[in-house]
Amino acid sequence: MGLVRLTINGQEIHADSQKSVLQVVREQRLDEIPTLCYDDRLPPYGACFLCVVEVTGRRGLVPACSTKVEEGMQVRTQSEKIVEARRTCLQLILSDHYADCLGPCRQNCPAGVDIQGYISLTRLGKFQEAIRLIKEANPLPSVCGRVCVRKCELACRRQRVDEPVAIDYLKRYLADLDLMDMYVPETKRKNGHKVAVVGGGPAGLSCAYYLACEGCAVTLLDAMPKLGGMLRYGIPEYRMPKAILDREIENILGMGIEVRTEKYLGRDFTIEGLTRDGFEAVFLALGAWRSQNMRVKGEEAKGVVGGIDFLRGLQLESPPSFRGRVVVVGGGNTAIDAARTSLRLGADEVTVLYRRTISEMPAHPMEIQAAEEEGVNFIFLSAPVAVVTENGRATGLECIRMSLGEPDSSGRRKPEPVLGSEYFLHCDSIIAAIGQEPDLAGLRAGFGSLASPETQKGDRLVVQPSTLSTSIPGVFAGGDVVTGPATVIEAIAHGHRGALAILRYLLLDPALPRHEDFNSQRDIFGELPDSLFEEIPREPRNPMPEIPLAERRKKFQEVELGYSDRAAAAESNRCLECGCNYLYDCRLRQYATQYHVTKPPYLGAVNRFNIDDRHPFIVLNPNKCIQCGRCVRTCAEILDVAALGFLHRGFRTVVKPAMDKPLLSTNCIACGNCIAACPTGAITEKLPYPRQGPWPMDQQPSLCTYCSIGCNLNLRYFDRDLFTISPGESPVPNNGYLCFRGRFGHFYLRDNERLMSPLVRKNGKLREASWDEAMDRVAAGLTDVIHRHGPGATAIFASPKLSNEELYLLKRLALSVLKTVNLSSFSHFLIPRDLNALDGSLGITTSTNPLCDLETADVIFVLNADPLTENPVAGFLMKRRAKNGARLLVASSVDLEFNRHAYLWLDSRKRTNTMLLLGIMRQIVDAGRVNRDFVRSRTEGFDEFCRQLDQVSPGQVSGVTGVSREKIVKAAELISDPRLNVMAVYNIDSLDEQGTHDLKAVANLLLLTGKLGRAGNGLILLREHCNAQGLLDMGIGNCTFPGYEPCSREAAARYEKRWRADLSHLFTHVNADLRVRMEGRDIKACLILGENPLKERRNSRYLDGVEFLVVQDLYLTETACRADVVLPASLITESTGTFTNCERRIQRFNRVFPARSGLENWQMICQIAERFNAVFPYSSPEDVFREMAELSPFWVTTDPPFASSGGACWNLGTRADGEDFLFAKGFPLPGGKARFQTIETELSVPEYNLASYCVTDEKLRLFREKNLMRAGE
Amino acid sequence: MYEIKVGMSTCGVSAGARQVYETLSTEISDRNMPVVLKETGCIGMCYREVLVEIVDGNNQGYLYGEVTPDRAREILASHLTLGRPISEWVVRGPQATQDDSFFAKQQRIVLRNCGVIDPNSIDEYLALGGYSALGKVLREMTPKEVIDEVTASGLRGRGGAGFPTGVKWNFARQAPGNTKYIICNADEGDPGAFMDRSVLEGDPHSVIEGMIICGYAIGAHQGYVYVRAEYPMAVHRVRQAISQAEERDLLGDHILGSDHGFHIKIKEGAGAFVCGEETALIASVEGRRGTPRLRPPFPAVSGLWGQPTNINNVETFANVPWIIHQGGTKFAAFGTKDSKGTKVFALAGKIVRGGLVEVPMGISINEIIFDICGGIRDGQKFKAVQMGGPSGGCIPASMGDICIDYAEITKTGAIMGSGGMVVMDGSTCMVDIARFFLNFTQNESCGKCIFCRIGTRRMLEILDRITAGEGKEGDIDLLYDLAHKIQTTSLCGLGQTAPNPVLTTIRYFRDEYEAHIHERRCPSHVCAPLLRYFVNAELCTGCALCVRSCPVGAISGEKKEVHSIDTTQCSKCGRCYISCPSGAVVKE
Repeated sequence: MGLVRLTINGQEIHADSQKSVLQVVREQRLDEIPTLCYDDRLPPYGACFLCVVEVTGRRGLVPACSTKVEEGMQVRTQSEKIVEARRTCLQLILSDHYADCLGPCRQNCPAGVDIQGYISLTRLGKFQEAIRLIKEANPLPSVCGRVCVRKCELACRRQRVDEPVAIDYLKRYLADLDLMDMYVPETKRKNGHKVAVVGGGPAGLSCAYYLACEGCAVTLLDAMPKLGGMLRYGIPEYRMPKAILDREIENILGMGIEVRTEKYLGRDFTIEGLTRDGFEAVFLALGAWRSQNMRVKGEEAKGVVGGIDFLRGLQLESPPSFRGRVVVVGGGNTAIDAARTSLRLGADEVTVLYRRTISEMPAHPMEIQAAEEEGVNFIFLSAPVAVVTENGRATGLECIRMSLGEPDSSGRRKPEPVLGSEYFLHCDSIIAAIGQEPDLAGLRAGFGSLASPETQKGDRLVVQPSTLSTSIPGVFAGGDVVTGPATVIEAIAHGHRGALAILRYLLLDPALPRHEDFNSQRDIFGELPDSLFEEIPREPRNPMPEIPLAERRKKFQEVELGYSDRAAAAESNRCLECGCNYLYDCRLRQYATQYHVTKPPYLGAVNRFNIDDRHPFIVLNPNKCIQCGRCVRTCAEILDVAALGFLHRGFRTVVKPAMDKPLLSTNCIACGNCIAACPTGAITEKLPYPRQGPWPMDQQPSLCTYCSIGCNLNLRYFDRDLFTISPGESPVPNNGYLCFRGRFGHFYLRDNERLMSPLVRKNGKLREASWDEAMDRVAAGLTDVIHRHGPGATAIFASPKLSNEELYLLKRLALSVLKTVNLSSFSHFLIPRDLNALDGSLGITTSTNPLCDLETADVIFVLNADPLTENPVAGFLMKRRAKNGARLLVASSVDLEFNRHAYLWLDSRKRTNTMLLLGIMRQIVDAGRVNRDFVRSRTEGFDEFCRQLDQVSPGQVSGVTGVSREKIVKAAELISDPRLNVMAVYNIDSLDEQGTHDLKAVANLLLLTGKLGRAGNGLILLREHCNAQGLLDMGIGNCTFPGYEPCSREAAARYEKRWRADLSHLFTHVNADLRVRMEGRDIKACLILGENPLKERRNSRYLDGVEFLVVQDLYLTETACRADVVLPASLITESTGTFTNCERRIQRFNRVFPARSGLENWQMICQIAERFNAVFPYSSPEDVFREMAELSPFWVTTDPPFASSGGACWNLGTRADGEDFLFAKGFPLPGGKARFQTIETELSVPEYNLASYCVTDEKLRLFREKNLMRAGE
Repeated sequence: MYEIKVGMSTCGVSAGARQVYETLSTEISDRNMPVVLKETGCIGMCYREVLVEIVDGNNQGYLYGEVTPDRAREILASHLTLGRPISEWVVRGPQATQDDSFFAKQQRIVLRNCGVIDPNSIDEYLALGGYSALGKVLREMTPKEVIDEVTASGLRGRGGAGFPTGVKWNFARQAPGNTKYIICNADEGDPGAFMDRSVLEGDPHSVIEGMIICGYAIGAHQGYVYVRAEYPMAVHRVRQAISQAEERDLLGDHILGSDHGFHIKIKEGAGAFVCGEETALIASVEGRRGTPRLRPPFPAVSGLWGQPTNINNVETFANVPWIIHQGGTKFAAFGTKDSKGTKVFALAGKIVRGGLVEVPMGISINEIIFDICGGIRDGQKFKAVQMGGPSGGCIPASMGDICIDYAEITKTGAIMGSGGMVVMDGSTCMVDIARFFLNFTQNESCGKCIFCRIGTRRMLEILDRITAGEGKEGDIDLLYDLAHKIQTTSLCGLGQTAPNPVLTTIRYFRDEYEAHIHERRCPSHVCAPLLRYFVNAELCTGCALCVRSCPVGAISGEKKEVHSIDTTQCSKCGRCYISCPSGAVVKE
């Protein structure tokens, strides 16, 4: 017990002895100890052993999660042994992890472009975002979309079904769209570092691009007159139109890159000179420009030209005409390019001579095919022996037949000459396209007095592979000059890698090693079985439209025309989404990267499971399960549902739905808390999109709007259309748990059907209008009514889903601008309940204690509530307490699911709970179990109440309620037990049981037993809507100022001063019930925000007399249809503000996206005010809150609510320090004493319907029914 | 008046005791013989089952071994009718027999009543002083005195870990809480071990009495016997014994009229090896998946339903009445400094006399194997003994002089365990045996800890490839490395000890591993992929039996001529080796 002193990593600390090493290390931020199975809301489990640490004196390593700190303990959290154990652990997990982090496409792409990501964005029509994603790894998509060798497509698993996805065509499609309005990345602030990039080819451009993005001042030097390197001088026009190349380069240069062309290293500048000029780093991307010789006799003859020299020549001079017969020697892309170009230049006959067969050709098969189509001849298995010349000019080629022998070092079979098979090939020109190499002649000079960098065979620069640094500090190199002639995408990858290495060199420790992310791959467990692909419908690849063959030979026009929109959409739908959509969140991958796990050395058997996606919201992929049991434990121990469990033993152990049934057939409640519990991608959310990503998401804390618990959640978003919800981290009020509604009810937030612009009634019809027009109309309408009927004929109605700030502004609008006190909410009208029922007993009608007090309650008495349906997270909390020993008493006429968790179900008849409570109280009095001290010192009216109780006989209670005497006695015993903490939970908005006097009786019961004014004892009033409490706090429906401040002269003066308005009408108006006035058609102008009373037709009686109606809502509701002006509401994601939940907790939500309608709700209210020449001087909702806090002492104790994610509870200044319960010191009633109220037992209450009158609730209901029905089929 | 006792434990029944019993019963009633026929438990000589003991009017017993129904009739006819015992079938009687040495060095405390009394009869147990220890405890001793007596005896938990029983009881006694539980762990799961089964089948009351005494000592009123459902006879006998004890007020709210109440329930386990682990066992009793959990809290503080719980195994409880009755010092007189009393072992494998023995601590392994169990079968050489089941290790013959003592055995890398001893001779491949035990544990892992679930599997795969002739350089190091990590990073005993068979075989028989890996050779000629069969031309008589036995037609040769085996076709099934009458087929 108490504090202990211990040493962790040599640092002496103090810690609570009840805590584990892991908790202490985390809390005191001493280290990041990895763990996969630990969840601080559950008891330690000890399965993963990733959190192992060393404790002096203990044998081996101990798990930090379950080792309690002890006095004098010496702990080390980092050592070679620990790292080794953790790494082995991860390797073992990954040796049985049949899953792909990345799709094979991305894995195979040298530049690591997020192919799955951009294809999914393409499918969703998010072309700009897709280009943005591509450009994170490849700044030249237009180029690559045309000339890439497509290693991605070679790896594409779609070919197991039919053909690979046309990844490159899709990239080109996106790039072509991009050319019309090019995406320019946001560049970071200038960091002051100067970098020179030598060589303007793909590697140099890519390096310059990423350096510029990071804020470096980049200068690009190139030997040629124009940038582009081989892209320009090596690839013919019909494949790479130069106009497009120019656009792409121009775009890159537009980021502020300085260019110096025709600057040849060693001739026009030196590295030394660059250093002198202040360049701190140099990236050499010189390329490989020198054609290799054929090494045959006579090749210096006229008419023999190197392949790359031939192609380059075309770009420099006007194209020569080319007649006669041409032989191209070689089998690479340059050879094919030269052959096809020769045709276009007018050659009569073009033959490609290659020493192996077509299957060994390095050129892309599609290029070879195109060349064949255009009429290029191929001679395979032949090699040149000598150039035959006549007058120094080539007239033919002496060739020899070859045959293929054993495979050589490249894995290809080595060609060997067939003796005596020489033959002669007549020709006029010979193009030797057998390869290129870097030309380092100038480089050596370029280093001047500096030592030249190290080189290797073929004049390639030697670099350190991970950093691309040469042997000279500050000089980096990449692209062909390092690799020898390679592909464009490899050069781009080098440029990117070089840029990052240079940044590390400039900004950080240059020695910092670069670690690749760990990637799990299914292929390492052997070829994927056919069964995985059999079910997928065949859908052939969309062909690329090309110009007609006949036209090709004549001109250099681009052959491929690009995808149509339809083809692109269809093609993007073919992606199989091999990569994990939990990629960016997976803890396993994160740790595997951190602990440098490479390919697992323990490969052996692997478990393979089918993915179960039958549930409408939850996808189970047991292949990714690491059996940490967090989902199983959360489901069983927190939610008491146990829909998930372990199956089998030993190596086959797996987590699946209980009894291996489909999840929907278990008692799964679809709350999705298992998704949040899973540290890998074994349990994921089925996102409501045709593609599942992954997309790198940002997140913002927000609040759930569905009920009054006020659950914290995070909005995880890629953009305003692609987002999802995850639980928030705050321990209060929901401790990271959500219910179905909070977790999956987010579809309405992206519904494009909602109102986006104001509507104004013209000629009887609602028409779209500008905000100005709509506001003018609102002002005119209201002014007209005020003129004709006086300000008292106007009214404002506000939804309990509006924020505190919005409600406050409405209050100000009503009182100071419209000069009306008619401010209410239909939520008060439609549900007949007494919102002030406890004012007489306790001085205020609200929750007395926070929800977390349920955690310490021994007895929880739930009345008139169905928490699992109405406020599920509170229901979860009570269920769990019931499981862990608290006695749950439920008074309900309905056999609820919740009752299963009850210790005692008081099965009273409908609407007899008042009698039941009286019976319980009578029993308490009779048994002498009244808390006399409490009653005497803190209450009044007890004797009078006892007299009422005397009239209630136990027999009568059982008779009326139907609850057995034993149950009543038991309940009375438990509630009145002085040793037990008792919490009462009452849903004030629940419609099932409502008896208007129940609540008063509950208050009497708590007073009788003294279960108030203490931690763990009190009342929680659940409510239906997210800001129902805030609505009351703001005085909506009451003629009070915010914070329950009575309308005194003094208060009015304060508000008058601040609002600069005359509030004298508050003391002159005639008090009348607004409901009566509405029915009496006294109200002529109405402003309704977020409410839809006309959902129920009979409510039209309230609005029949209204002549001018303004409705603000998300949709064109029944009420909006009747309005003169309809204003589009902003979403919770589009504004900032606070809600007050049922436990009085004021919590903040944040604007994530700008309001699509153009105005946030609070701005709209301000604009209305401005139309009346009132000044609402707020620049943000924070200003509004600040003003509220300044004007009323009510908010002082909670300021600033914007500070922490958990918010704070308001407390009337009655709380003890650090406690969130009320009435510790006294009750807000005269004398500070609470009062027993006389209870009427009223057994007849009118029937009414429970109809969601707020749009989002209704939408959720429809959504849920639709989805569960579909899944149930 | 004769009394005939038929050994009717599972070992006897599977050898045919039921048929013998029925034959005897029919004969006796047909001939109306003045004989009392009854069942008894296992006396330990499983190698001689079916065992029938004839006790004559002078209380002289004649134990007949390997009795068949026919022999039973003959015994009745000769011994009972004519008064002439058939001495060549008697394995234990008035005259010395070759089997007498089986008992010479045994000391029977736990097994004192096994094979002696009828386990179906509480009266027989009472007649031999049963429940008198309970009476003594309730009348004369305080709980503390009981614990002191048990502590003085030096009794250590017989389930394997060997924790001092008295100390354990004291923890549970001192743990705060009004409700406490006792669990008898009868989840015997080691392959080849049957000590607990024999005790429950042969003398269930001694266990029940031990539990009641324990309940009194620690203040528990409810006990559970967690027994695997695969032991139906044990379940039946314990259930029967509980109801008998209840009838006699030996179980109930007022035991023997005292204020001490105690009840026992049986929980049948589904046979998961891991449920022998205390916390997994508790989970299983509670109806959850049998998965160990982190300790602390230890069950003595928070066990079944979160209450203080004491768990001992069957043998431990069976010792208790004797200790109370005879005194802790008398018990402590047996054994060594740290290991007191006796230990029951189940002997299996390549041994002449396989069965159940109870020996005083301190006896050597060689004494058990050679003096009691008659050495190795077929004149083979003793190679090693696996002690402690799959959690234990292999002790080589060269260390046969080691004495039975917790510390001494632990030093070898094996463990005392619950008492399984599997004896191996030269025909056992040590890599293969390690693989056998590891295969068992890895299948029985609950799957919770990563190292145990995946690590043991990977070790097994390495052993698989070594025995398949595909071992790689560095495999032994890899095994060592994994083994040490599994030992230190598993939650429960199953994982912590799972690598023991591998570690001990590498330690003592590294040459065999190396032969497999480097020479692609199995020195014991066990691992089929490494074997080569061929015909020794000098011995071959050309009988062609091998040709006919070969399922793949790999053997050729004319009759009366030397045959040969085509090794490329040979499937290494070994049928030719077995079929050759002249020993001409050789494997290498």
